[in-house]
Amino acid sequence: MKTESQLEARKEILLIEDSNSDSRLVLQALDKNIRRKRVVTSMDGDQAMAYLKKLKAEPKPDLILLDLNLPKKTGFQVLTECKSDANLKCIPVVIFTTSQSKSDIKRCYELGANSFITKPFDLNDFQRAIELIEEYWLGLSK
Amino acid sequence: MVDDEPKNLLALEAVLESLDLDLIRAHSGTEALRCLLKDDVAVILMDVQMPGMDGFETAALIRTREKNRNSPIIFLTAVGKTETEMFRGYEVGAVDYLLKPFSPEILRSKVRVLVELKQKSDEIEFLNQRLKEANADLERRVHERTASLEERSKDLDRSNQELAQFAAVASHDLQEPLRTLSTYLQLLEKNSPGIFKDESRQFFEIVLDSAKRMHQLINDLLSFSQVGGGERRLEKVDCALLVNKILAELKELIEEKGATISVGVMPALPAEPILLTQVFQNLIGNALKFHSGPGAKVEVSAEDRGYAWVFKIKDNGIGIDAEHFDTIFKLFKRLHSRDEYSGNGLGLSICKKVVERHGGEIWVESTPGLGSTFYFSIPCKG
Repeated sequence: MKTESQLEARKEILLIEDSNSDSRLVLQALDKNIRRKRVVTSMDGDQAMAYLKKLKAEPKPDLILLDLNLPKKTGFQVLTECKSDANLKCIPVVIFTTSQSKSDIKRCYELGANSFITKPFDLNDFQRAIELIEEYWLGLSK
Repeated sequence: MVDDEPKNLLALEAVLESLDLDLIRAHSGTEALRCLLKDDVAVILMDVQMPGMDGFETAALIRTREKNRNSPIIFLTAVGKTETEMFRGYEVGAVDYLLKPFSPEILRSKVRVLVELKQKSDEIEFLNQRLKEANADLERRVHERTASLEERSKDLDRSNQELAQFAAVASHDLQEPLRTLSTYLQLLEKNSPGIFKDESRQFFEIVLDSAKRMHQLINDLLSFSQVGGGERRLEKVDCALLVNKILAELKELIEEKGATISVGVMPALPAEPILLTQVFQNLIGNALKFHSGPGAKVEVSAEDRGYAWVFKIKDNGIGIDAEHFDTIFKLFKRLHSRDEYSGNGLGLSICKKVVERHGGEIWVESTPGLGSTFYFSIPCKG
């Protein structure tokens, strides 16, 4: 698991994304704004859950950015596990994924997702989306 | 024939000979009962006065047997027919009474009638049986057909489901690398500002535009493939709300075109909301798109025709030639080059598929240069 500290690590984002190119884009977008955060990335649902469960009393991520298309354990499964764990369910989960299928959207909200964003096709829209997610869920304003 | 006196039996035989029947002889009530155990008879000619069991007693016993219950009995008696005796006879189930000496013609007639009755009765029974068998056979065949149809239907459902799944996965797996392509190209440019100059800049835009078009095409193909699948799930759809939502989404395009949109009274009716949305999106979008210059006007209205609501989207755009009125609804059919007007030719075919899935129809009226009016109907009852 890679971690990238941004200045003084304060807010933590857990990015669960199996595509290298997409996770790089996200990091790039987060990079653009000088805000106090650190990003933990995982390419695999099992690994991510292990990380989350290990934390227990320690400070947990302030936001989970979750892709639905993961190998082995699916995004839906990760979402379900997070929201059914007493320690983890308070962490906001934003689904950030390629799909724009209404049934996927419905299912995610039913499983307790806090937000569902389809990865925008245009670079500027993509970066703007990440900015907005940060602002809203981490309360980090410029 | 039941009589204790053999000469009487002979006499009866003689009378009935011409009828060509099977004649069974019994000399007593007991013997009669024994005979009837084996056979079912058309008529029983019964002498009343017999030693041991008389005719009445025998008749009474015959009537208790399931098998012989309906065999008609003609009592032959020498004793005078008093009312009480006759009554007793009918009580034990006699059908008729004949006094000895009887008229041979009368006896023959009566026997013949009863025999014919029995024959008819047997025929009916036979036909009944055949009918039952034919029925059972028919039922079995219907059952087999139904089972076979059900299986076909299940196969079809499964096939449709697989297709929808395939389309969803294919769409996703195609979109992802496409998005990577497009966004990283943009990143390339952002990373090295001014890297693409003049002609290179144009090439850059062309590549980006191509990627965007493919992105749109994959989405539209997915939409199209998803129209067919599965059972219809109808909900009460408030069309006014739907149209307003679409107009909000199209705000930018509307402003860009400087268009005025008017929306008439819209009904609420049973439909599949996601699919119906696409119809309005495509038609209203087209009305705005296929207009050159300022002053675009789009009218959206609906009319109650009783059995269905007919929706109307009228524009004052470039119009369509009559020869294309049918072909524009075909898959991938476009009337303009990509430089003139954008689009991949799927919009109207999606509309047609959706409208027909709802049981309605879609058609167009248009005059080139003046504008087009698209109509589609949706049945009121779903």
